[in-house]
Amino acid sequence: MHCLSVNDQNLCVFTSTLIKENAYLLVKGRKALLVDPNDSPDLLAFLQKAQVQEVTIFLTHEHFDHTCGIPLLQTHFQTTLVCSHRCAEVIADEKNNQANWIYYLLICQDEQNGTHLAESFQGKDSKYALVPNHSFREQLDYQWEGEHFHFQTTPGHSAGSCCIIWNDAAVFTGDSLLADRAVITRFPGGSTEQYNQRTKPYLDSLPDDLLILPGHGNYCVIRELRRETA
Amino acid sequence: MTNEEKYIHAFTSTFEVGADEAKTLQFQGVPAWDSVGHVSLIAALEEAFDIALDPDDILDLSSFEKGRKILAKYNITV
Repeated sequence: MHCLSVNDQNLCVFTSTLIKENAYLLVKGRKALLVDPNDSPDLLAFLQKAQVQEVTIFLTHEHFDHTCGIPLLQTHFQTTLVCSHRCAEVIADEKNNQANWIYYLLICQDEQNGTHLAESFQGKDSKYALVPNHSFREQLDYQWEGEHFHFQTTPGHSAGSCCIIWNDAAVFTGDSLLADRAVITRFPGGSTEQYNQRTKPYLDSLPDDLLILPGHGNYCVIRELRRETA
Repeated sequence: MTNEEKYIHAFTSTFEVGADEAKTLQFQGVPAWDSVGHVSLIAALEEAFDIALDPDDILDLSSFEKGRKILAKYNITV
């Protein structure tokens, strides 16, 4: 776990061991805000140590690596779940967890790199269904403990993807925009056409000085990313 | 749609190839059938036939022809 200062606040990042997915945590008193809870073993311990009682969870999309921490959190805390309408439809059915995708991709990585990640993943593929407390069709403005969040659907990586702008200073992009790798639009539910027609123009319209907080890999300011791809 | 048509459609829609080419496909035989494409193919087959493939079968599905044999294990004749 490491922390960075965003909006003059401490934002903690918990990166999962196998899939390297970033979960972002903001704590205010006994309340916590979590974006894309993963199964990082440190996360629960941290929340318990901070004596958190209520956890608000934002999802950038429906994929297993971004939701797999939720069932455990729900057994320990009062939770509120917020995601897009399409994301909600997918996570409502436990058949859609698709942890087997992750397992398969880890096997491929193992073959390529000589690692043993898939072995460690076995047993983590429990099926679960989730029902959000709030969902939205296109956009949503949401207040949490004095912080403002603007959700905007960004289909392409998955059907239920969205980006979440925090106080006009940072944006949780999930897998819709990554700082150090290409966005994948070929997973089931993904669409290159939707990404190019809807999401890319939206991302291109974001201000230069916005901090990108992606679902995987490093964070950076959009300006740096645009400079690299120019 | 017959099982045969559903099976062919899973390949043609996932990899954007014609039916004749689909029947000759092998894993990594076309750029689209890489590990990500494989995940999409599995999802397409699972949805088309309302099944959940075992991890071993996901790994074994290395060609169009091999897929027929795997589906037979789920009592699906293609």
